[in-house]
Amino acid sequence: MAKAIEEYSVQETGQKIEQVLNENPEPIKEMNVIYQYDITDEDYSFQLHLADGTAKVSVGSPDKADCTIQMSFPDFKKMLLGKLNGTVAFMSGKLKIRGDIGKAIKIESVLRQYNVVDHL
Amino acid sequence: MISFKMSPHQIQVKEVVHWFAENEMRPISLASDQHKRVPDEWLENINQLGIQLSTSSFGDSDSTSEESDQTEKRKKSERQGNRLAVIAAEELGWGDPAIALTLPGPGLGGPPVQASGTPEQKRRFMSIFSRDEPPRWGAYALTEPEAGSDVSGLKTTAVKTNGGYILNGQKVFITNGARASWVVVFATVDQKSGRAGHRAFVVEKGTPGFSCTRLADKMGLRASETAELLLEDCFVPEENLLGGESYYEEKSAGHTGFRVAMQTFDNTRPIIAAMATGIARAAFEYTLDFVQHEYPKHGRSFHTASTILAKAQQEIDASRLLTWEAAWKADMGKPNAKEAAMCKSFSGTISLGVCSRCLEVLGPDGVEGHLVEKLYRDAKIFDIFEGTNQIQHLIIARHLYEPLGVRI
Ligand SMILES: Cc1cc2nc3c(=O)[nH]c(=O)nc-3n(C[C@H](O)[C@H](O)[C@H](O)COP(=O)(O)OP(=O)(O)OC[C@H]3O[C@@H](n4cnc5c(N)ncnc54)[C@H](O)[C@@H]3O)c2cc1C
Repeated sequence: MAKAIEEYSVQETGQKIEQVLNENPEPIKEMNVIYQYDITDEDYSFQLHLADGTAKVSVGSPDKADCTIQMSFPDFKKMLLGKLNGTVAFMSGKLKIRGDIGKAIKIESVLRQYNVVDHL
Repeated sequence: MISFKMSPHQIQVKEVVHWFAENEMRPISLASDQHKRVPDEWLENINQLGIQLSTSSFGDSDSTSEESDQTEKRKKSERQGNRLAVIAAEELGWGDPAIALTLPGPGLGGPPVQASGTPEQKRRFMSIFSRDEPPRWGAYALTEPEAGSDVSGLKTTAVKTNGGYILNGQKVFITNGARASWVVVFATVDQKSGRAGHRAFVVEKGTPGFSCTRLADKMGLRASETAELLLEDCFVPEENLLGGESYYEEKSAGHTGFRVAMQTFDNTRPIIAAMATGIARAAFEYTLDFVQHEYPKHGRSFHTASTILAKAQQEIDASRLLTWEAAWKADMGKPNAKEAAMCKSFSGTISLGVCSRCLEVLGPDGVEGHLVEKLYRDAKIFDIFEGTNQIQHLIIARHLYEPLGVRI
């Protein structure tokens, strides 16, 4: 049986997102953007590069991101599971955004389409 | 200590809501006004974002989750729901006040349910607002043809019967009254006893005997739905009496439907004030830009326009500070009825004045099919709803002078 999401490390979660997005690139087809996730409680950053209908995750902050999203790992997982609304998380200060706000809102709705739960 | 510096969190809220106002609301603003309706498709899309016009969507968001540590957390971090709400409301008013009032959520119906509902009622009525469901609304129905400013003259009756109450009466000018899944309806169980006889009921859409008879065709806030509601032998079950019977029985606690109705305003008037400030700012910013680009850079007209704009900026800043104070007091749990009335009446008045003077500066360009023309029509309503200016001044006078023994 697959691991429950609770057991995923932050590295594994990043890889899983890359895999799920590439298996069905339809929702990211038109996107050309670099997101950076700063996982605050793990002191860990990774970038999600979306370009030409493919997703690539890289560790650290190798490139200049269009938009940086900062949050704790437990909150990040809750958001992927659909248990935490990005806007609510943001309004209550659990999530911080730097850079292009429109792109931050966009990625949440994109990830929601994947129903990441089914894959974790 | 007095500080006017916004915290990083407050700045973020302002930025994100502004982004929403500029990129999601403004593009549909004039068309929605023209069609007197916010497009359903738009409402469905933004429902998934979860941006709402209410204090309950900020900071206290944990109240809807099952986290057990929520009360502890809330104690540790200072409550700032009211301040975040006015910061957001200013941006939403800037974007489009009629659309802001149409954002899915409990609306004005939220505060009475939150403040007076039993835990079961709060759960039942507040849990329907979710981004995983179609957009839904709540509403608040106090005003009647014969009872607006003076709600002690309320004529809608509630007669106790087996398992509930039978409601009869008419409500007018109810924001989102037709689209709402439930409406907090104020009625009297005993007209002779005045305010003590008032009760608040949650009437659900589709209840037999409950209908919408008309939508008002207004000068401003045209895209916002304003409904006339009719209650004809409408049976409302006991469990929909807000707070339950025991809530009103305890006379010493002073719980009446009137109190429920009025408490709402201490929280919502600052939000309305902030929206009015946002309207003024929208007109001001538009006109400032126009003057910079279209006016000759010297001479009398440029000079006059500059002083008009300077005065507008001054009024907008004053209005915002009054509003922040009222919201801050609410967050601190201090009585804020006086401050809420002050910011509401001040901002409504200056908003209309700023829009009017901006129209003058814009000249003939401004009066036809134009953003500032629309804002002017919208602003007038902020002078009226949630209590007219005369009523706000009455409230302020009572709070100032009644402690000194002057009866007002
Ligand atoms: C767009 C819109 C949306 C609204 N939404 C809602 C809603 O969602 N729910 C709801 O319950 N209501 C709503 N209202 C109603 C609104 O709150 C009332 O219109 C308002 O309270 C004024 O009441 P009224 O219209 O009956 O005016 P009246 O009370 O008849 O007042 C008429 C005039 O007399 C003045 N006046 C009255 N009494 C006094 C006094 N004692 N001293 C001095 N002057 C006085 C008033 O200031 C006013 O100028 C809405 C109204 C509008 C226009």
